[in-house]
Amino acid sequence: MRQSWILLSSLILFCALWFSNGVSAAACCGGGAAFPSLIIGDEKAQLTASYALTDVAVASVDSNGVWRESSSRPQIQSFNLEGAHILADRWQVGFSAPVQHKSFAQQTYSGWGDVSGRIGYEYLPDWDYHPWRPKGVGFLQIRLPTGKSRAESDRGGLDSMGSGFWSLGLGSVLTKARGAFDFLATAEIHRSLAKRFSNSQMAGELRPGWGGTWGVGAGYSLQHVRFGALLTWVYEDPVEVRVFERFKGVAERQATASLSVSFLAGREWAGTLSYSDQTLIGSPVNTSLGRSLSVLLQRRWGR
Amino acid sequence: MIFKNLAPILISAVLGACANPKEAAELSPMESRRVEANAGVNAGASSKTCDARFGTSGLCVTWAWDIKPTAEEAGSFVFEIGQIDSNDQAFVNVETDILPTVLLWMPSMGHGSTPVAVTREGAGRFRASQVFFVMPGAWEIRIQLKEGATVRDETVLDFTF
Repeated sequence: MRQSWILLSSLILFCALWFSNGVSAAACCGGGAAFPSLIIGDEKAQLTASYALTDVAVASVDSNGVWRESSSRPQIQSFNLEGAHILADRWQVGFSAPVQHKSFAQQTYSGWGDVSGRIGYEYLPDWDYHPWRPKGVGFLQIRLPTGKSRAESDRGGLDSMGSGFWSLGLGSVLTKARGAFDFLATAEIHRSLAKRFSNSQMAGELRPGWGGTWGVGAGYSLQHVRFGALLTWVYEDPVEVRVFERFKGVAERQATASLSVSFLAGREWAGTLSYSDQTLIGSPVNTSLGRSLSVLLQRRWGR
Repeated sequence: MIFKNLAPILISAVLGACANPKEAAELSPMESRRVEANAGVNAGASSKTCDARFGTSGLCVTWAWDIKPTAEEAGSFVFEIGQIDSNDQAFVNVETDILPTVLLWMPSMGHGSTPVAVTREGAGRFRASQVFFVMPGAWEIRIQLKEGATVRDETVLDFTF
């Protein structure tokens, strides 16, 4: 039972990190909403470092859903440092600080992704056993515009490392373990704020809207090893661009399928290797699609 | 027992959600990027056509690629601003005091590309170089006549890269 909880915590952490890591950013430089790293188990604190390598397999999917590949494919490397710490018994705070490095057509760009902070609350504790009631953690998140929006880029989005907007989000994670199996469901909604911009070619205003992320996952544990699968969907409202003309924009949609293997070394260290693919499921529009390989290392401190 | 019953439902849902991509026609590789100078702006005045018109002044634009861009290298094109003579239908260049600017815009993705350099080659004749499309798809080549940051006149050329 204890082993199951340890592996389940690893699953949740992996899933949480995956939302905010290179997979979302592979969608042309912008990417979907960040998802927090949350403490699900009995830890007091945790710190996680991850690295992802993304190959942009489909350069663009236009507003009509037409896929176009390019003979030259961008590559994206993402580094992410995330942490969480318990404030009180059921309250916690966390942060995510991603950095990206893009290479395309003999050009390279590096910079911060969307740095975010969050407050979490365990609104559905698991103090006593229940066959069906899940454990639930909710969170409030603020995202900083440290990653440039692709609409304001004068490099066609190549130097865009995130959404580039201030945004406020609300979300939840539900988890449940049954024997060697575990299950996960997530949902998050956010509102991004308008901003003025100026680059070498134009100046004006960007007006984003609402966005959201949701996902389902499951896993199977064998002693210290867990095999997991996760499906996530991301949606973003159109970003209206007001420059010399008003461009209404197009909504963005993408979906990601992921497989992972996690290993626990005692109660303090965990590692995960995962593969994700955005070309397999969903009906994407207004995005690029990538395939990613990532590794993650986590250190935990008990209460 | 319940999990065994749920498995077929979940598998069906996943398969039903599988992506069904629509693919554009494959772009053919270009053995030679330099375009034959037998048409377009290098043709005689009577052969030039009004490819697009400026929205405010109604002036015509005729254009042709000089070096076509690829996925990794920028290209260049030549364009002329003028009018069609009502008598002989010849294209007559019009001198502009303002040096036009060229903006590449991808409406389906909501972003532009790298800056384009424009140089004057003669009366009403210009060359746009460093033309680079960051990804394939439908693009707009916007030729603008600006005063400072204000666009006074503009025409749009549709181009699929």
